[in-house]
Amino acid sequence: MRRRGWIFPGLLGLAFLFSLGSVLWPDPVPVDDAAWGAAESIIAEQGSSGDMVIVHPVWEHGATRHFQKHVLVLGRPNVDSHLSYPYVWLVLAHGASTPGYMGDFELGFEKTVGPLRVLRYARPDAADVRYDFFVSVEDAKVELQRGKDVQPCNEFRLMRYYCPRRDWNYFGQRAVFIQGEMQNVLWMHPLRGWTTRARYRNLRLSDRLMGRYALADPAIDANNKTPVRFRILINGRQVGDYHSEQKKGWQPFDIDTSRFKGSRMDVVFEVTAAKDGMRHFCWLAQLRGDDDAASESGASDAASESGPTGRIQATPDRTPATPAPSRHKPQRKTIPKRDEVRP
Amino acid sequence: MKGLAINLRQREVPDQRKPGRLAYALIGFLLLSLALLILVSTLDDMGLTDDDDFYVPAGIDYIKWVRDAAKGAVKGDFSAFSKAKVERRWRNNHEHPAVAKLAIGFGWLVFYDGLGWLGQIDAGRMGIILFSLFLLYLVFRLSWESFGPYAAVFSVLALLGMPRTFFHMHVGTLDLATATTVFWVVYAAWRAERRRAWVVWTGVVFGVALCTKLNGPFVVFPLVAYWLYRWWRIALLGPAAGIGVRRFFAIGGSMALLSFPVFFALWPWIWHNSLDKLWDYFNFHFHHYGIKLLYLGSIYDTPFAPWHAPFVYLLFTVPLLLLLLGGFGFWRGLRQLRPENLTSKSAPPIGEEPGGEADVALLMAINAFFAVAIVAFPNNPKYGGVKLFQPFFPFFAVLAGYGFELLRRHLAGNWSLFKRTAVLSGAVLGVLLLLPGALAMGRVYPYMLSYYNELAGGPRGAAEMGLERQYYDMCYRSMIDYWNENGPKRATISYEPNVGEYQRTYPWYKRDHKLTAHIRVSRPKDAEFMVLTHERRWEHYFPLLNAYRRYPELHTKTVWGLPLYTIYALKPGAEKRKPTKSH
Repeated sequence: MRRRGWIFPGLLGLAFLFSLGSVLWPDPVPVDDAAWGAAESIIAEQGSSGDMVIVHPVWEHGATRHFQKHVLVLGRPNVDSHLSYPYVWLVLAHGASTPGYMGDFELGFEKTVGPLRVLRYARPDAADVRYDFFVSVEDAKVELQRGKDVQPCNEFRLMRYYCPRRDWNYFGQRAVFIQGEMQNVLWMHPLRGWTTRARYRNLRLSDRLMGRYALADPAIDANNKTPVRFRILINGRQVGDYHSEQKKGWQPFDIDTSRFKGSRMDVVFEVTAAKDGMRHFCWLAQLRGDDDAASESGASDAASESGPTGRIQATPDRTPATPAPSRHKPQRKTIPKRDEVRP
Repeated sequence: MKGLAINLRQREVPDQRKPGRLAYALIGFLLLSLALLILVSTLDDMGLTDDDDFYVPAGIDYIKWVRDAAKGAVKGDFSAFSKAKVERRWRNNHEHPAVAKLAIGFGWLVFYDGLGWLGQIDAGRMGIILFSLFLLYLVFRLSWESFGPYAAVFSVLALLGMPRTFFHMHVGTLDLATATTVFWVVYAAWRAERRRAWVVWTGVVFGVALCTKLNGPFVVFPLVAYWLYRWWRIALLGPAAGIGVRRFFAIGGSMALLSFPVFFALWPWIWHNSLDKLWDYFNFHFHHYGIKLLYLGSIYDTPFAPWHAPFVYLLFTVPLLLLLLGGFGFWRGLRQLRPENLTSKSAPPIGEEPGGEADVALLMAINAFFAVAIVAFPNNPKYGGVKLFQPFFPFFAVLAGYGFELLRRHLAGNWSLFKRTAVLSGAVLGVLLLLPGALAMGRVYPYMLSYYNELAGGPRGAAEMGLERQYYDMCYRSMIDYWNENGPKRATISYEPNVGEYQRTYPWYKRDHKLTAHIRVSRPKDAEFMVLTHERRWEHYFPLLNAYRRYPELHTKTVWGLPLYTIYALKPGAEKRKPTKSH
């Protein structure tokens, strides 16, 4: 009994040593620029510019000054955004262990460079993906059309093309709730009286054009129940015509494009709605092939012919004091919505 | 669990909790003076929250009305009570009741308008500091009377040593105020068990709690739970219980009868069109919009975060040693509910008698649990780290003090040296137990909202785990210092991911002459400099990071190795407008 009475004091003693050690232990030395540069070279050599790069631990801020040609994420990605990419690189520092959120991605490459471990993961179906419209959003040419009036949506920021009439009427990447889960999507909010169009030009088609579309959850509860018409055209010819349903969740589509296989054509996505209130329309799509043809969106960019790489285009290198090219300038039309008003 | 027990009977002084009124007054005065000194001396360092701009102006409006009404009443002019004048002055931030904002207004009236010692925001925040001192006093008094002087001193220091609560003691928000009034209700109900006058006071104090924030009414649930337990034991022990059931009915009756008139009297906004306004008040909170929370790597808004989020945030934001001591006190309190205690009719051991220290610990434990559990309900919004359950912390501090006292008694019972040098050894033990937490606070100071304990691996470990590294859209003092010391004399800046809040907070620094450079916060497209706050709860944070990291980085503020915000030069040559220092 007497010995038992010392368990709590003993526990406190250990906690004291642990706490004191934690607070007095010096901060780890940040990874130096040379090591980041070496990791960057490996990824440039082995991957392509559109690959996502995830760095652990989250506080290794030095990484933000590197991997300029990639989508960089520090720590666990928000809303599982990495799952939208066929290839993902992990750069691990300070003995960080491989995170558990890679799901069924497969490890295809690993190398240690100085204090960093560099790993490349591929989605199981990455080999089938010829082109991913989400990853390659920057390739799109976006416009509004009403009769003969065509208005380009050229303002590109935050991986989105903003159209001139309403700031919610844009085409690009966004995370929204679909069936209660935050997901990465291509947002394409229709505008009443106008056709919102995203054109991906000169893509080499393969066996299938597969994807899914949905209204984000808040749109399902909205008063406006007007369906959104979603059309897909290849070289001006309609190959898909869908109407959103007033229920939560994705609707799939699968278009046989084998008759166009090997040809280079424009793929166009259009949305319209008679009433546009709360029509939070989203979609995702890929070109897929069953053969072993070189992937436009795979790691073998160098093998692809001229035309879109199928990946986010490389950002031109800049000297430190030079701002980004104008199309990359992070400009906003409006103040971000203030949804942080607290009680 | 039994193995963790420290024998409650090991008390070296049977009634050492009452060393005399002089010692009580002297220690209490010194302790509260020390607390006041600490809180006031750190006031300027605590950044502005986005709530300050809601509550400080509202508090100023309210206190101006009080001043005008009082002046008018002296002259026999009661026009201030007209519907038009009441609604004009009390409309601001009418979705929350008045008490905390009146305190903020009082601080403004005294320290800015009257004495002119402080700027408007700091003067308003003095009202919350006064609330904090009152809370510390209540904690001190309850602990002293229940557990003795060592526990009382330790409880107060423990509460000051909880970084998130320490922060809330400084800022113009309602959370510390509601923690105070909720604790006050429990304190009053506890005193009312023995003193009849406090039965009435409990009803009045409950009205004050109702008029502080919506947390107030929920204190009824833990009190009723505790009274049911006491009722059960009274039924078992009969007169030996030392109290009759009627006393609890009296306290409950007082709360039911007196609280609403007090609530009504303290909130002039509801004096006219009362039913409509009360309906609006409850309706606003029943349909509270979602606010984003990053929890274990996922972003939650609506639907709200899972039930365990508040418990996990709690587990990781109290210094480890205080967590263990409070946890021990909590467990000692809950032990009162063990079956043998609820069935035995024999006299309980010292300390476990009805209304004794173990019962007080149970009262604290039930209240601490309810304070978090209310937020954990699936339909309740969860955001802002531990902000929404600030009432938890004073109860937990008292439990930590109790845990400390039990430890001290145990050591004194087993070490003669410890017993012989009771005061010195008690002080040394207390200092040692508070030291790691205090050092950790020093490492994150003044970024208290970024504090995470040793279990989380500190701020870096918590960020890696996917917990929020900051919230409240904090406009840190260091941001202002950066522009004053390093930035250009005149510049247009912006913030991402949420510039709107900074457009509200920066003018306060300007008005109070803390920001000397001519800095205008604008929309991002007009800005020369961008401050990116590293807040992953915004789903567009990573696109923003990828967009802005292409620009020259001027400065990154880190706390304990974790970046909080980064300043980028957006316009060509902006970074050369004045040489910058590295921080």
